[in-house]
Amino acid sequence: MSRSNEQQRQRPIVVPGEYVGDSRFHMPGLNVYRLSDRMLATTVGLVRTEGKRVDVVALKSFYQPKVGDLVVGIVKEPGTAGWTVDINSPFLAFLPLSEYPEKRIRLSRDSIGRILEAGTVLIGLIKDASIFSSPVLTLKGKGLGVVSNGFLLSITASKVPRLIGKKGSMLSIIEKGANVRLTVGQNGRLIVHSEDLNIVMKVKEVIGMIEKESHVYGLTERVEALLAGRRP
Amino acid sequence: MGENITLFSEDGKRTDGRALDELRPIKIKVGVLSNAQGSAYIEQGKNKILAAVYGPKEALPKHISLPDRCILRCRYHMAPFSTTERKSPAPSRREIELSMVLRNALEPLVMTSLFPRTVIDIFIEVLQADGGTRCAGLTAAVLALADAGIPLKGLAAACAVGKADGKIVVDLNDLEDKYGEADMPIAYNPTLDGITLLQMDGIMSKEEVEQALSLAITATQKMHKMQVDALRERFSVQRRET
Repeated sequence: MSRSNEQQRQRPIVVPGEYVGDSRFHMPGLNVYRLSDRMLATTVGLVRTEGKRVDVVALKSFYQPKVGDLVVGIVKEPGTAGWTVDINSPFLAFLPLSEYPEKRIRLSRDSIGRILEAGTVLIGLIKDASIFSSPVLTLKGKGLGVVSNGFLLSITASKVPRLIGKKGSMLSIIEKGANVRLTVGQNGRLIVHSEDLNIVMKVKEVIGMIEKESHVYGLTERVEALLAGRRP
Repeated sequence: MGENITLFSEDGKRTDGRALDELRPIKIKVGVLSNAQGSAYIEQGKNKILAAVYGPKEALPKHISLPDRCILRCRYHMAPFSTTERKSPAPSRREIELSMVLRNALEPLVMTSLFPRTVIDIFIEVLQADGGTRCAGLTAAVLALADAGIPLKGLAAACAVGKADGKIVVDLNDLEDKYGEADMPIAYNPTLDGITLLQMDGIMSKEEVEQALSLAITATQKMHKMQVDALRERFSVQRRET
């Protein structure tokens, strides 16, 4: 197949309820459920088979918190013992005072709302997550903390692995191409560490392309072309 | 029942020229609203309906949340300009009931246990009504849910069947709905081979119900194919014109 034909080719899209495999020979993975011998997709997505496991990679999804994930959050409300943080997920995260990096906080002098105001953007790590309680965030760690400048962009959470690429390959292409540093949260939010609007718009365009075209072959080449200023 | 109204022409066609088991022309588009998380638009004959989905999101006030699953909230609403005479925009008794009926019909399709303590909001807005809005609304709402990325057990399509002038007809229009003998809206999920909505208004014999049911299942299977095509179209890439 020639390169241009291959680029046009799209991976087949499955819809909820569509057959993706036989459960006697395969195991249901992500976004797949079993109905007697049949395995069916639960979301619109692309089928990926790894050994016996069949996954459906969702084309649109929201973030499900997992322990150890780096996320970009926005402080929603200061509480009595910490802050509730919007992490672009159905569940609001909680950042307890004990996970705030400053060693000494005198609550008698500083109100919690003054330490971190509502609307503050922060880079955190999911410390604890279960379906029974709110996910817990921490700001203690390298590279974590409050973001003071930069731009916030977003992408569907299921496309984050594609945005990062294998061993960070796609991310480094974008960083080199646009000459900027990016922080990508697993929750589908990313921070462009730059004040230059041209760079931000360029990154935004690339992210829009990854979001829309991740299931078309030859994405990396098209991203490189877009960054080089050529229309793919 | 109107005595002077004839619902069939001499050659046996219906008021809009359709055969007995023929659906009205259907146009479906998914992802029409950019601010909603998921959305769909359906035109079924003269019906024009928009559906939008928000969530799952934190259920507030907290006491409404359930510890083991998410809750669905559904609002079926007819726009003031959807009917020939202005309809009051306040929710009527019929709309409140239909909201509940549609919520109950959609709930078995959604994998609610994946998102405990959250809520999903579904809005069904009828822009123009011509009979069978609950069915068309449900068909659009399912697509809006899928468009929002909410895990579903499968898609469901809905269609009304009924009896007009003694004949079993599929996909009733406003006239057949008003002047016919019976009306039976059905939502069917081909994946699970299950009926998720069944109501009936009027009188039909057991045989007629059975015949109507099998006609409805055939019709909803056709609609299911259209739903799948609309979803695929939404997510397939439109190549940029250079």
